[in-house]
Amino acid sequence: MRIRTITGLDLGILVPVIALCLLGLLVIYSATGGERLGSGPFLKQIIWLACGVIAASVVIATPPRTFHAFAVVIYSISLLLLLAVLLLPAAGEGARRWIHLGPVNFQPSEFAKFALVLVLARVMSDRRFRRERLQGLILPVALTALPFALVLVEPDLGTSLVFGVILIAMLFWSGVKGIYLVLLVTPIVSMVAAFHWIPWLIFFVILLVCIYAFRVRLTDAAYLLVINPAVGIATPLIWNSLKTYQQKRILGFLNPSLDPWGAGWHIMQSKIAIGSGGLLGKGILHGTQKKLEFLPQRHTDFVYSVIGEELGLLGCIAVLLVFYIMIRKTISLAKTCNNKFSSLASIGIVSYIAFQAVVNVGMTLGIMPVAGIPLPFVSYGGSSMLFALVSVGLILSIARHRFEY
Amino acid sequence: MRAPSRILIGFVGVVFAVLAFRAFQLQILAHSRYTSLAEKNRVKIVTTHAPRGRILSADGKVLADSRPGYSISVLPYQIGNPDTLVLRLAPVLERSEEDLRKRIHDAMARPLTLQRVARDVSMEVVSWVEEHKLDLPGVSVEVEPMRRYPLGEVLCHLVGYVGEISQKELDALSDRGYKYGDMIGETGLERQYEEYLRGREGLEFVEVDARGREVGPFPDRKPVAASPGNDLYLTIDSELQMKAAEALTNYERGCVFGVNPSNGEVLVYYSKPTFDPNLFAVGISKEAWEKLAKMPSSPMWDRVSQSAYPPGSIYKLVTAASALESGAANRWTRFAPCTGAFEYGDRSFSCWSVHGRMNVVPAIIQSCDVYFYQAGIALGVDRLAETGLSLGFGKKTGIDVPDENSGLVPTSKWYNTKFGRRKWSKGVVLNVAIGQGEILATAVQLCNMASTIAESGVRHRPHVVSRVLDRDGREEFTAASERERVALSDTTIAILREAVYGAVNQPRGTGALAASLDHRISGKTGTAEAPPREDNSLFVGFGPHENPEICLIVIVENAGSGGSVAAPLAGRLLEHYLTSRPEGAL
Repeated sequence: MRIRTITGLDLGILVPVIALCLLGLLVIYSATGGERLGSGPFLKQIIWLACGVIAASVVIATPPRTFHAFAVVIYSISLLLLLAVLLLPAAGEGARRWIHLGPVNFQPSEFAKFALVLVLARVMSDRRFRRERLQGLILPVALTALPFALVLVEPDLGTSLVFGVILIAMLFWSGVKGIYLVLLVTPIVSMVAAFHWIPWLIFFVILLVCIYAFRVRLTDAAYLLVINPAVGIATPLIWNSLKTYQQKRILGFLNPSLDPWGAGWHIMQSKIAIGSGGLLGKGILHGTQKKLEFLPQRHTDFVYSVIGEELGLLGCIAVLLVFYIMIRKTISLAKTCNNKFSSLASIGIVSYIAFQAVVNVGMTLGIMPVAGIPLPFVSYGGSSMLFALVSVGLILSIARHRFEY
Repeated sequence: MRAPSRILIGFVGVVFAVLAFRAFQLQILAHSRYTSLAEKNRVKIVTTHAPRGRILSADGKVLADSRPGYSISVLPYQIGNPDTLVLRLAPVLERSEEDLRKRIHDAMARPLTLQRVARDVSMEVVSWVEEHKLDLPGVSVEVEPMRRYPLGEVLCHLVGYVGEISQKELDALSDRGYKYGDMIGETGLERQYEEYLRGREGLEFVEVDARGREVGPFPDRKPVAASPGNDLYLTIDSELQMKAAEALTNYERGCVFGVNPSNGEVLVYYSKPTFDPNLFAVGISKEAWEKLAKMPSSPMWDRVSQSAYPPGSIYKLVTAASALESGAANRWTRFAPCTGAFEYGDRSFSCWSVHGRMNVVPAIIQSCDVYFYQAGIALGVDRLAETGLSLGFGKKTGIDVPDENSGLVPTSKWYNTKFGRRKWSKGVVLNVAIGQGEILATAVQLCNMASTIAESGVRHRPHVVSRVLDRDGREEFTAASERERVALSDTTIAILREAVYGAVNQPRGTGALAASLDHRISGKTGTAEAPPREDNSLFVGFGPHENPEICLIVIVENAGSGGSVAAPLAGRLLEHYLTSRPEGAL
């Protein structure tokens, strides 16, 4: 594959990322009031961007084998940090997601995404990884389950799902049989479907048909036929034994955004902002919805709404296109990599960048649930910006070394 | 790896195409509709207030509820020149211009949110504002529920108070739906049970035109109904609570705490000095707050669960239990006689009287220090601490009020870190054995220990809230009974019970002034040194002796000996409770 470069940097990946970061700055400037420069989010974002560029430069200069060597150490540190978030005294009674270091708030879950990609890439590129056996999946699943659980209890359901997406994408890329991915996902589907017997029955019939149609091996079929009914029976039993207030707590825990503002108020405002933008938008700094504070979180999770309002459909599609180019280039890179670790790591990183972009944009457009996931490179947020850039740094480093074994 | 990469790229492509189509749908196909919505500036959210849950005593007295009150609010983007507004409003609201200016300046940060500048204003202010409405753009009168505490000072520490949410709380709780200007429980049960008590505001989405005039309900959004908060039902006996307040009338500082030993239900919870929680409920003025905070007697301080006191001779029950359990002494062991003082090392430790030679039961009854100095030496500081910890000292009891104090049970490890290895004398145990020195305990812990003895070794977690009901009477929360057996043998319990009965009912007992003619009361006095002031007076007791229904502690700061001050007060409270209960006297 041909790659245009400056000093060995893959421009197909670098240019889209730079474009997104600059657009992010512009929109944050516009969304947080414009004239009051030098105060608040805009300046902070510039500082974080600078830190991110420095960190990414260091990563670019580091060969991927170094990350292979330190993958387990990095992963362990990320787990310790996630534990620290839960154990350190919380600032209040709300969700615990940050570690406060003086003026800087650090969000370990962002670091954990990057760390999980490294450790999974290392495990799956190991010769001992037996992708054709179900037992081979135990280690990757366990490695994912730890950060998943730690982030889930923060509680931050949206971010914890990102870990699951990383696992599924990397398993898929490593060539694990499709049926094993189904095995991983079915117990969760079973749990959700079990709240009413009709959906569960439909689910189970489909499962049986699939087992028959795809000629699933006997042991795998046995696993499916034991674990799914077990989960299906246990879920309503456990649920019904809980008191009303406990059930309420769990529901609130699973979805903290079930706010009294009536979930959907944010979405409605976001749709009005985007829809009123039209083809060309109202022009940067000229949005009306964001100015009137009708649009909440307009520089963090709802930054895409401001883009839609001020830059219109062209801006919206341009952002999607730029993301798509970057994702496509990275997948092509993963395909041409000679080194299996590098190939898997690229896919892991691009899977969470793509997932976050899709969920965030989908949310602002009102076709995905509110999950509290930022738009990579664009949304205001220190830790997410820093680690998105570090992740891209790794992809660029992989691109420089892609012919090495 | 060709196939997976094609599948992935194809999959991402399809998803992005769906997103792009959705953007097209909103921005091109539905553009005119959203433009008109946006231009009309259009949705106004009107909140409908939901009252906070009530708090009721066991006998049905309302301890906290809500009444309607008037507030003055501003909608900042309509007010024009804020300085003119400050000059006009300040004299009417009887507020300092500086105060009001800050308030309005803060409000300007949220131009489109209706924000309170004064709470619970008088009818005169309301009519003045209504009269001058045309000259006061952006100013409005709102009706909203105000918190009211009918018993006021009598139960202020336990019930606590609500206050306007601070910026710090707001940052931490924003994802729970709190917003600027909300009231939130700040102390006591109001804080502990905030989640149950708070009402969830309802929302109405009203369409408005460019001038802010209401056009009608917004078609796309259904209103969200307000849901009032849940009611707390306490275990507190309001009559006993009043009696406790009455009992301490002549004393400046102290507390009374009592539980039902058979289930841990808290019957009385009184701390003095008190404050008026009603001042906080409507937003306390800066001057009043500073006056309260600076008072040397710290009325805001909850002396029941937040103060750790030296327990004095009450702790001799722990020392006795420790000696009996470890075998350092038995029922009949007699140490060297009390001559009014005891020599240890190069120091002399005194006793408050001359008791002669005695075993554990008379030693407790007459509260002989010399007996317990020797028991302490035989035990050592760590064995004594072990019994203290197992009887609930040095850790939170788990009572359902915020910020409970753990107290302190010193161990040799603790002394090592505090003073350095070998830099402390073994003599510390003599003081700890009689409840002086480093040992610290809360009223809740002391009462809990006595109630464990009363209940023959079964300890219940003390709790104040028995259940929480929603407005339709459905149970949202029920206090679970949490009981455990402490590691004391039946013999030890029997000896301790015999001794606390004697301490009240024998002529030489230090708690004789707590005795009642009608009821069999047991108890133990404590006199704790509080230099340079007079001693703290303590008494913990329970009754009836055989089948205890109440265990109660009285602590009076700097009032004198336990037997002379706290014991008679506690005796009258116990007697009152036992006589007034439905079953009546003996």
